[in-house]
Amino acid sequence: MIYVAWRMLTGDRAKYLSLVIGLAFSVLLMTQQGSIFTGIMMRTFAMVTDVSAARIWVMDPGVQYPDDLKPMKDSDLSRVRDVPGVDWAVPLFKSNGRARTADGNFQTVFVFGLDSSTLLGGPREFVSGKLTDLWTPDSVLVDEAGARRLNVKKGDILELNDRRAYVAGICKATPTFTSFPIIYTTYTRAVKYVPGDRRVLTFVLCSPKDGLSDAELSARISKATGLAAITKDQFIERTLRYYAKNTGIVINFGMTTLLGFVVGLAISMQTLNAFVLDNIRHFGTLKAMGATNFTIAKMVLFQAVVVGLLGYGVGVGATALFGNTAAKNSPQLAFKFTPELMLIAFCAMTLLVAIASVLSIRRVVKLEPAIVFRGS
Amino acid sequence: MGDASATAVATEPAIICRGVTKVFESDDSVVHALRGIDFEARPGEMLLLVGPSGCGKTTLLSVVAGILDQTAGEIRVYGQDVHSMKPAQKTAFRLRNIGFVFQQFNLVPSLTAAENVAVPLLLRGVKRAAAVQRGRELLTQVGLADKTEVSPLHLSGGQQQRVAIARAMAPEPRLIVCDEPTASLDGETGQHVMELLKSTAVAADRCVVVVTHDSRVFRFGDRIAEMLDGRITSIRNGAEHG
Ligand SMILES: Nc1ncnc2c1ncn2[C@@H]1O[C@H](COP(=O)(O)OP(=O)(O)OP(=O)(O)O)[C@@H](O)[C@H]1O
Ligand SMILES: [Mg+2]
Repeated sequence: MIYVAWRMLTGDRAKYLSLVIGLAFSVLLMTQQGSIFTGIMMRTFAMVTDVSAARIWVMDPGVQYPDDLKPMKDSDLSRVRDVPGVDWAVPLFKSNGRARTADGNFQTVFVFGLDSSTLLGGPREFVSGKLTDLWTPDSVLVDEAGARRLNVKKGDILELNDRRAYVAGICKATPTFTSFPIIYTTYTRAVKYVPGDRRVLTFVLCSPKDGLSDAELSARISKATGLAAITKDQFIERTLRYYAKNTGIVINFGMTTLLGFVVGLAISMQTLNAFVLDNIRHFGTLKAMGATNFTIAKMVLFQAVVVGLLGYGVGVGATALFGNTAAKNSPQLAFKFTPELMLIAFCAMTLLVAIASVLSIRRVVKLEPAIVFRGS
Repeated sequence: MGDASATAVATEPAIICRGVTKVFESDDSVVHALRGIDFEARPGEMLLLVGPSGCGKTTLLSVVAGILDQTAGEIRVYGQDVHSMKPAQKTAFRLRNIGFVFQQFNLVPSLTAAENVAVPLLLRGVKRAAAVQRGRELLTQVGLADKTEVSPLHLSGGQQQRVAIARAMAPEPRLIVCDEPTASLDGETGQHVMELLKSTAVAADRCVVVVTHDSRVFRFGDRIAEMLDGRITSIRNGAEHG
């Protein structure tokens, strides 16, 4: 009878398509909102993931998120280096600066200063140029989205705090939450690119010696220096907690995603119910002819699962397509469609289909077969 | 078939009704649709239930077919008391013993004619290929050998009713119930459908009960039960029996 259910479902192309499209739409709504949410949240800790070599971040204990810039003393670097178990520790300078573009406009930027000899913490992917280009005098690297914003390309000149900076290359970096352009340069040069009062050490990046866990070493550093030494994951967690607590992002996106779910539920219940109603005479006939409620329930469930799966596939596909196209056209767009999101959407879809089919199945189970003889 | 009880008691009536009543009660009305029905029907005969609109024909057919419970009285179909069965048993009983023909045909438009005929067999667990093949054979019997792979949407009313009759016969039921099978058809087509029911659906071990108000088809009945206001007022032999 599953075959009959399949044919009943696909027999009317238009209705079948509208069912699938209805469900696909709600999946699209959920995953699209979820992807933008994920994308935005990932930007908040982009610095931590982009600087992948650093397993431990040392900072002022008051720092709550990557853009929360609190100064440390220059001597803190050597204090960290002195902690037993530290394999290497390098400074990372981060500050706001002001860039003046060729057309005379000012733009707030993030200036990163990398350890001049190792360039640890620098970008890894480039559109043009390479990391070691930073060793040429006055050179800086600009992130792709930022370069577009500043309207510069490799070979151009920027003015940073009234100093000349030569754009030696364009690199890839996750755009920042505030979408300020990112400028990478060496530590010694970076401090000159920002006003005097900001010329201080912001982060120390370090890595433990073999056999020592990140957690162990960070605890040791914290204890020895009184600074906050946290692992990469802890930093991410701290950042997310800050944004969740202090901004409306989570609530706002939670609401739209929930809305997507509710709209999806309404659509899928409505369309599935309408489908069952359209076929109520056939289900009644089947019941009169001796189909058990179990058989009928299986048929309805099968139909719901088929449209659910197809709707899920189309919806997820549409979201991926949207993300791809949009990302190509505007790198500023925060959009991250992760496998986790796909799984969540799948669970949500399953829940939608389950609720919708339970309601529809109740309907056919309650159906009196005697209706088949009543006037049409 | 192969039902032991059927062969053992070959002369057993197909239907026995004794004092059957049906009352429809709702908040603001009480309708006595059946007020004490007594009759028997035998295997191998075609019994017509006739009477004015609202006299209870459909209600009687429904309780006999086991899709509606009577309020009081006894109904036996081939000796079985359907009313006393549990819902699941009743469903299984209908699946094994009863075929249905409707005024509006009630075919599934997205299935082919042969597949429609195969549905009751699929319900019984027959494999699809075998069931559809049997559907084709039955369609040949009702004169639709060239329409087996066609959707009911592309068939005339008379052809659709033939498909429905083939479907009713597919599981080889011992009772076929038909509610106004000719009411949606023109006069001549209705005659052909009744002829088909009479010649093909009625069998030595099968009884066919037809509800109709179409006097032009009365002559096909072996016996005609006249109903009025929830009662059977007379049962007479059909015209062809003189
Ligand atoms: N489910 C129901 N609820 C309430 N009353 C009903 C129901 N079904 C039938 N009736 C009533 O029972 C009576 C008999 O109805 P039934 O449908 O059996 O008549 P009928 O002889 O088949 O009429 P027709 O020739 O118009 O089909 C009618 O008065 C009808 O209104
Ligand atoms: Mg009727």
